[in-house]
Order: sequence, then C-alpha cells, then structure tokens
Amino acid sequence: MSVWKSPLFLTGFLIIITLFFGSIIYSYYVPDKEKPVMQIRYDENNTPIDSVPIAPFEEMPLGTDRFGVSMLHKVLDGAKYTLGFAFLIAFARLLIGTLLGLLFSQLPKSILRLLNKLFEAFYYAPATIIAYLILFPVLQIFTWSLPRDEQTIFAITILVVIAVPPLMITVASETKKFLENEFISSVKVLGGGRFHTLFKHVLPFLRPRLGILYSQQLISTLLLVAHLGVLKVFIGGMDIITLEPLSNNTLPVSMINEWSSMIGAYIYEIRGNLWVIYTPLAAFAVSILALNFMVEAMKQQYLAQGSYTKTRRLSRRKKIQPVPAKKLTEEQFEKIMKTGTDG
Amino acid sequence: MVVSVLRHGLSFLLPIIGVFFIGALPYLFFSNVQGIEAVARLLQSGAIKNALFLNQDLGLFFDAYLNKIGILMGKIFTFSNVEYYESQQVKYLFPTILPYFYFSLKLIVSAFFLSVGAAIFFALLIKSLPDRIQKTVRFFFFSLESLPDIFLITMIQYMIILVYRNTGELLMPIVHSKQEPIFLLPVLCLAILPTLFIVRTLLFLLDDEDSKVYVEFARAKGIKYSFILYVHMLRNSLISLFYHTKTIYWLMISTLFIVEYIMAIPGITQFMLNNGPTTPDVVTVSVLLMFVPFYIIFTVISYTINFRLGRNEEEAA
Repeated sequence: MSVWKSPLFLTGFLIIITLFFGSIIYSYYVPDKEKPVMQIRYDENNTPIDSVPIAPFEEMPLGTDRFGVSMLHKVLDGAKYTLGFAFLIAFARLLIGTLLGLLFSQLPKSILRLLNKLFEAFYYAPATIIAYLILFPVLQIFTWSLPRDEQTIFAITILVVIAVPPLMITVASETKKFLENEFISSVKVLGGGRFHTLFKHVLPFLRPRLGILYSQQLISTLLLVAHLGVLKVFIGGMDIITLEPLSNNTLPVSMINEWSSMIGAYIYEIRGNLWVIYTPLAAFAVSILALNFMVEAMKQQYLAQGSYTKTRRLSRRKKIQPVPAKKLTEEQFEKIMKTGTDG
Repeated sequence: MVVSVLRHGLSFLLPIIGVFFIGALPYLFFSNVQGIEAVARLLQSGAIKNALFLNQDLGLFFDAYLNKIGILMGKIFTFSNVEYYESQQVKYLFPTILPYFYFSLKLIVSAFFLSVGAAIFFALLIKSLPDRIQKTVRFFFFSLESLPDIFLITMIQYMIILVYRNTGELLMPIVHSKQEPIFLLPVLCLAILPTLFIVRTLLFLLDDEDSKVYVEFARAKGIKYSFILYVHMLRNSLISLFYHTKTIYWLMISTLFIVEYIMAIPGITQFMLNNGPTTPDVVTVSVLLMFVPFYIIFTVISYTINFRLGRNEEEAA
C-alpha cells in the first residue's frame, strides 16, 4: 500500500503543506507592512477597556503582543520562514549526509567502525549548546562586521553541518549492511561497477528510509531552532528595541516573524501574558505533531513491507479459532468406528 | 590478544576524543577567537555596550583548530586544571564546576530511574488493556511525544500556578532559589519525554516478543498471559531496551538545558551557557564530565550483557 493512501500520513502532510503555502498566500494578501495593529481596545461606548498586550477576543483571535501586533498575523506570516528554513536545512543535511554516507560505505569495515565511534560523540554533546557556542558570536557579538545575509547563510550552514556526521554514519552502515546481500555479488560478477551498484541498487533500497530520515531531520531542526530561539539566537537576524533610553531597558526583537525568534523575544511574557508565548509554541507543537504523523505512517508501511514474522495479538487471536466439532448421530458414530469413514 | 585489547581500548577512547573535536569547533570557523573571548568578557563586565568594532573573518582554520585540540587534550589527559574567566577574573575550573555538575547529575539520575520505572508501569498497563482501548491509548501517548519540551515544561509550570491561584496551595516550588532548592519539578519535567520514548520502544519490543515461539509454548502449557508478560517477556525486552539507553540519555541532555534555563537552576548547562562564550574550553570539559561516567557504565554493562549472552560485538551493534 502506498504511503499516500494512509490517512495518518495524509493528515500530517496536509497540515504541513497548508501551513507553508497558506502562509505564502496570506502574506501576499496581507503583507507585513499592513499588519493588523490594535494598541487600545474600546468597548461599544468608546471607553478604553484594555491596552497592549491585549488578551485574545473576537477581533484579535489570539491577542496581541506588547506592540499591539496581532499574534495570529505573526504566526501565519512566520510559518513560511520557519518551515522554509526547516525544509531547506533538513534537505541539505540529508543530501550531504547521504552522499557522504554512500562514499563512506565503500571504506573498509574497520575504518567505518572507528569513524562510527568517533562521531558517537555527537550523541552525547547537546546539539543546542554546540550550535549556540558557534552561532552566538556571529549573530550577537560581531553582528556589524558581516552583512545580514551572510549571517543567515552561516547560521544555516552550521545547523546543517552539526547533524551531518550522525546522519552520514547511519546511511553508511545501512548501505554496508545492504551490500552484504547475495545478489550484490551477482551484480559485481555481471560487471556492475561501484557507482552502478550505489545508484541502481542501493539508492532505491534507501529511498523509503530517506523519507523517514527527512521527516525526522525536519523535526530535529524545528526543535533545535526552538531551543536556539529561547537562547535569543535568531536565525533571521536580531534587532534591539530600546524601551526607556534612560534606564537602558532594551528588548531583543527579531527582524522577521519567525516562530523561534518569537519564542525568544517573548520568553519574558511566560508568567504574565501567556497567549503571547503559547501561540508560537502551539504552532511548533502542531507542525511537529503533523511531521510525527508522517513519520509514523511511513514507518508502519516500511515495517509492513520488510518484516515477515511480526503478527499482532489481535490478528493471531482471530486465526486460532477452534476447529468446529462435527455433530454426529449415534449411527454415524458407529459407522465411523467400524469403517473409518462417515461417507 | 594484544591487538584485540588495543582495538577495544581505541574504540573505547574514540568517542571521548570526538568530544574534543566538537568542543573546539569555534576555532575552526572563526579567525579571531581570542578577540571574541575578550569582547565577550568585556560585554559581560559591562565595560563596553556593543561590539561594533570587532573585525572577524569566517572560514575554515584547520591549523588553529587542531592546535587547540592538542593543547586541551594535553591539559585534560595530564589532569591539570583548566582556567576559565568569570566576573573579571581568571579562575580554575575544577573545584568551581563540581556543585553545578552534582546538581545536574542528581537531576539526570533521578529522572532516569523515574522514567524507566514509570515507563515499565505504563507499558505493562497498556499491554494488558483490551485491544480496542489499547489503540486509542497508544495514539494518545504517541501524540504527547510530539509536543516540544518547552511547551510541556511551561504547561506544567502554568498548571501549578493555576492550582495555586484556585486553591491557595503551592504544590511545589516552580523556580529554583537558594533558600528553596527545587528538585521534584525538574525531575518530573526531565522524565516526561524519556518516559514516552521508553513506553513506545518497550511496547514495540513487547509486540515483537509476542510472536516468538516461547510465548506460545508457555501459553500452551497453561501459564497465564499476564504472568508471561510480567516475567518472561518483560525480562527479555529489557535487555533489548538497554541498547536504546543512548537515545534516552540524549533526550534527557537536550531537555535538561531547557529545564535549567526556565527554572533558573544552577546546573551544568547553565554553567556552559554562561561561561562558554568567554571560554570555549568550559563546554568541552562539561560535556566530558557528563559523558564519561555514563559512557563507562554503558560500556561495562554492554560488555557484560554480550559476554553472558555469548554474542559478539557486531550482532549487538
């Protein structure tokens, strides 16, 4: 059965696609310059009843932030950036990881094992802190010595590089295992070269796994970016707003409505105006949930293809039904006892 | 024999060496790390307000990178003290970092045991439910697992606040302070995601056990399904679960940082974040501190298991 027929996969896929393309279409009709702003809320008699940040109500479905900008607008506008970054980063990770993994699988097994051990360290070092250590100087300390687009490119590069080694090792060991199949030696006997084997036999085998890996990388990118946002490392670039010049009271704000930078910029609202921080968090939760649906559906399909031994308790219970006993009359019974048949 | 010992020794040391390669990464990308460190120190002390003057090239600087790794390795492997910079003075890392480290270690270890215990309980509970309810419960657990950790942690904090508002009773403190050290809440928050992960893995393994011959044989002998589940199947799947410890550890470490950040706990990740920008060595040492004890335990246990089960290394990996 194709993945595209699984309702779980379709649900997740539709949610992600709707968020991404919906955001692009939305920002075409409502560009960020014409964002809905409400700084003071009046009731019918024109008496002010609420000021920024305004709690959620009908006209502003998700409330507003400290500057009176609708949170719904910010989340909708930001979806294309966050998801776009994630798509891009996960794709680059997978592309580089797969290519390097395929190359590495050609190395002798002992070297592969050593590399495997060496890169195991990536499991134990918290990725967030490593990424922070490298990105913090670029995005916060010497921000003015580099142009903004160069900073963004550097941030994306680091987020890609940080996940490539484990991915590479995964692909390499999968490929190595696959290359031990018997028909691979037939391929060699019939004159297939290394690259022929890799591209004609290994890649088709890897393809369903790459689908799973891609979605998993998307999830890990989103989580990593959210964590970095909490640490005020904003991928889209950061600016600082001074609230009161005298007391040096400043706020970091992001240049674009990207979700993770929204979390970072509003983290101080966490004890007061919850809707401001929960809106981007909920957006993250929904997209990660949708991606997990896709991963789960793909895994189920993959397992259904690959395993022959697994049976569910339910299906087995149905199978093992007692054989219906034949009701026999006394004559038939006698006959069977005498002749051996009841016919 | 000698070759085999050497090979095992090398493969044991390699992940530790890998940590050095990761910790020195800033030196690979920046031309002027000393400059960054100096400016970060000045910014921290408030002597300057911004770093507009600092000039920096991005690129790949392998010389400085390897040089740095060599120096740091020399320091660590000869057990000499590493210096770091905090509040305008250069300090020695070693007595200072230990309280932070112990606090985090306490949290991690308690959360680990809590999550394993809770996960076994939940997995067995789910497994003994009727099939139709089981499906729903499994889906619920799976959906919970997708929530980002920040979301879960802030939700739990907010719920405690809500209870406090409505009943006037503070269930547990929600932020760390010196007078009121916090313990229960961070352990709870740290344990949630690993618990969900272990439940899913354990259920998968138990399902796998289900189709094995010995279960059928035991059933045919007339042993109750629940007894087989609680004793034999659980025991067999716990061994396989052990090989997922790495992922559990990884989940915990990445949540630990958010927990410490939100609850203002003086733990090791806070220490790394505060002093990492001014002295990148701090990160290497802290990661080593968290990693080496766990790694030694993991390696010893996996060797023991392999030895007792009579498997060789490749099958286990």
